[in-house]
Amino acid sequence: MQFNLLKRRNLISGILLAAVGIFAAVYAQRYNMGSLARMGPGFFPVVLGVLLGFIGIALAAVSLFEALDEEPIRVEWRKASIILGSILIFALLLRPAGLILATGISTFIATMADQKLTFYKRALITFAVTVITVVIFYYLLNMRFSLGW
Amino acid sequence: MDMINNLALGAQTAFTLENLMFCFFGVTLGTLIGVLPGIGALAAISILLPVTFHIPATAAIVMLAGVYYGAQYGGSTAAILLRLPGHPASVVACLDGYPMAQQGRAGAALFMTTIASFIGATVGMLALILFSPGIAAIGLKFGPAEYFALMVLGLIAASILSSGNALRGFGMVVLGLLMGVVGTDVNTGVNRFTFGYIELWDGISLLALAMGMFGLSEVVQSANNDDAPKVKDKITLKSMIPTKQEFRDSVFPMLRGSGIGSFLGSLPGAGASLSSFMSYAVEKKVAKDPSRFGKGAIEGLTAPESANNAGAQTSFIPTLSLGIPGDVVMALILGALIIHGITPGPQLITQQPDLFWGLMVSFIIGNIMLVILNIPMIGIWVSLLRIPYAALYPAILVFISIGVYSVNNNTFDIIMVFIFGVMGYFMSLLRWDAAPLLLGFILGPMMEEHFRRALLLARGDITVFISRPISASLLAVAALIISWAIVSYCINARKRSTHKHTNAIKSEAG
Repeated sequence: MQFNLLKRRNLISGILLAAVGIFAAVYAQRYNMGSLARMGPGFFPVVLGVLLGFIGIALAAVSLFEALDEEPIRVEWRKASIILGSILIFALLLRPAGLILATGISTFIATMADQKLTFYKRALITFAVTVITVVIFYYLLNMRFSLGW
Repeated sequence: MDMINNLALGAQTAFTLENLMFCFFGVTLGTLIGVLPGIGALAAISILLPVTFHIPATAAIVMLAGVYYGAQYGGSTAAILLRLPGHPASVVACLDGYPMAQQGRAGAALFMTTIASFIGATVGMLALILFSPGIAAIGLKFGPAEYFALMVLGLIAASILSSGNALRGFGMVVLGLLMGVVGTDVNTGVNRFTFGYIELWDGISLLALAMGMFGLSEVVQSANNDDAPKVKDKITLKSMIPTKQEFRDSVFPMLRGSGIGSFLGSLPGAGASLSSFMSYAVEKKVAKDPSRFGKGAIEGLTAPESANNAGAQTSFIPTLSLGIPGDVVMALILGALIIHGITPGPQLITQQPDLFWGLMVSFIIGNIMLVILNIPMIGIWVSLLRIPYAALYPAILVFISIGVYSVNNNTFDIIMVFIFGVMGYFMSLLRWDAAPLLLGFILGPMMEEHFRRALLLARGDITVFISRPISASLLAVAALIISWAIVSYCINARKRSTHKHTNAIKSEAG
C-alpha cells in the first residue's frame, strides 16, 4: 500500500493545525501571562494555542489508522487563480485607474474561469457587469469613486 | 396585555417605509439565492454585510434575517424541478419533490412547499415570540461563569454535531477563537498577533473573513462546473392547485414537522438541515405505507419543509435572548449587531425593545411577502433558473469588492478579502468547514472576556465553573456530547474494520 499524501486530508490538517497552535502558543510567550485571578493578555492565546496543538496532533495521529480518502486533493489552479486574481486586480486598479477600468478588466479576467464561454459572450458579460456596477454604485448609491475619465 | 403593547411597538417599527423596504429586499434576495443553486444564504449574507454599515441597526437585521428565512422558501424550488438542492436543508426536498415533478405534479409540489414553509415559519415565530422574553429573563441572572459555560456548550455542540469529524470541527472552532484574539486586548491595550500591521489593531475584520471564506471561496468552487440541467416544466397557476387528498395528507405532517423544527432549531448546532432530515425520518416511521417515500409522497416533502422553516425562526431564540448564536448564520447576524455597537445578550430585549419587537413583526410581514412571492410569482423564479452561472459570478465578484471597499473606502480591505479567499479555497480542499471557525471567531472575544471576569470575581479559583450549578450542568452536557462523539467514533471504527475483515474473507473465498 502506498503512502498517498494527497489522500490523507486529516493527516495534513492535523499537522497544519498543530503547527498553527504551537506557533501561537510560542509567539504569545511575549505577552504577560498574569495569574488566574488577573489574567494578562497572553493567557487566553497560550491556552488556545496549546489546545489547538493537541487537537492537531490527535487528528494527525488518529488519521494514520484511518482509511485513505476516496478522492485525492485536486487543486484547480487555473480556475482558482483567475477568480481570486480578479479580486486582487480590482483592488490594485481601483485607485489608479478608476471604477470603469477596474471593473471592466477584472470582470473580463473573471469570465476566463469559465472555459466554455466564447469571446463574444465574455465581452457581453463584461460590458453588462460594468454598466450595472457604474449605474448602481456610482449613480444610484452615489458612492465616491473616480470613474477613470 | 404586555404582549399586545410589545407587538404594537414592533408594528410601529416594522411598518416604517425604510424597514418595509429592507424587509422586502431581504426576502426577495433570499428567495432568489435560495432558488439559484451555487450560492447559499451564508454567502449572500456575507456579501450583504457591508450594506449594514450604511443603514440603521434594525433595518440591517431585518434585511439579513429576511435573506435567511427567504432562502428557506426558495431552496425547495430547484430541488423539486431539477433535483438540485439550493441549500443544505433542501436536500430532503429532492427526495420526494423531484419524483412529484416527474409525475407532472411540479406545480402542486411548489404550492404545497410554500404553504408548508408558511405554516412552519408561523409556528416557529410563535415559539420565538412566546419563549424569548422568558429565556432572556433567565439569562439576566447569569454571571460570567454561566456565560462562559454556555459558550463552551454552544461551540462544542456546533462543532461536533455539524461536521462529520468531531476533532476537525473542534479544531476549526479553536482556530477561529485564536483568530478572534488578534488585535488590541481590551483589558490591557496590548496589541496581540498584529505583526506590526496597524490595520490589524482593530482585529481581523469580520467582513473580510466572512466574504473571503464564504462568498469568494463559494464562487471559486461553483464556477466552470458542468452545466446544470435546464428546467423544462412550465408552471402555471392552474397546475399549482393541489388535490384535496394532497392537502389532507399534509396537514398533520406539516404540524409535526413544525414542532420538530421549532425544537431543534432553538438548540445550538442543530440548525435547519438536521431538522428537515429528522422530520423526514419521523414521517417515514409514522406513515401507513413507508414504501411511498422517495416516489413522490407529499408528506415527505411538506413535513421537512415545515421543519426547516420553523427551525430557521427558532434559531433566533438563543441568538436574541442570550446572545449565543446556534449556527454560523446567526453568528453573522450577531456580528452585524456588534458592528452597530449593540451588545447582544439577555438585556437586548429590554434595552432595545423596538429592535426586538420590530424584528418579530417584520418576520410576520416577511413571511406574508414570501407567500406572495412564491405562489403568484413563482414563474419568475423558475425562469431565473435558466440564467447560466457564468453570467452571475463575475457580477458577484465585483459586488464583493465594492461592498467591502465601501465600508472604509480602503483597498486594503479588498486585499484582506483576497487573502481570506485564498485561505478559504485551500481550506475547502482539505474539507475544513469554515462555519465553526467563524462561530469561534465571533464568540472568541466575548468568551475571553467572560472567562477573565469569572476568574477575577472568583479570585482566581478555577473551580468556579463547576461549583456554580448552572455553569456545572452546562459544562456537563458539553462533556456528554464529547464523550458521545468519542464513543460513536469508536463504534464506527470497529464496524468499519469488521466490514473490511468480512470483505477480506469474502474476497479470499471468492
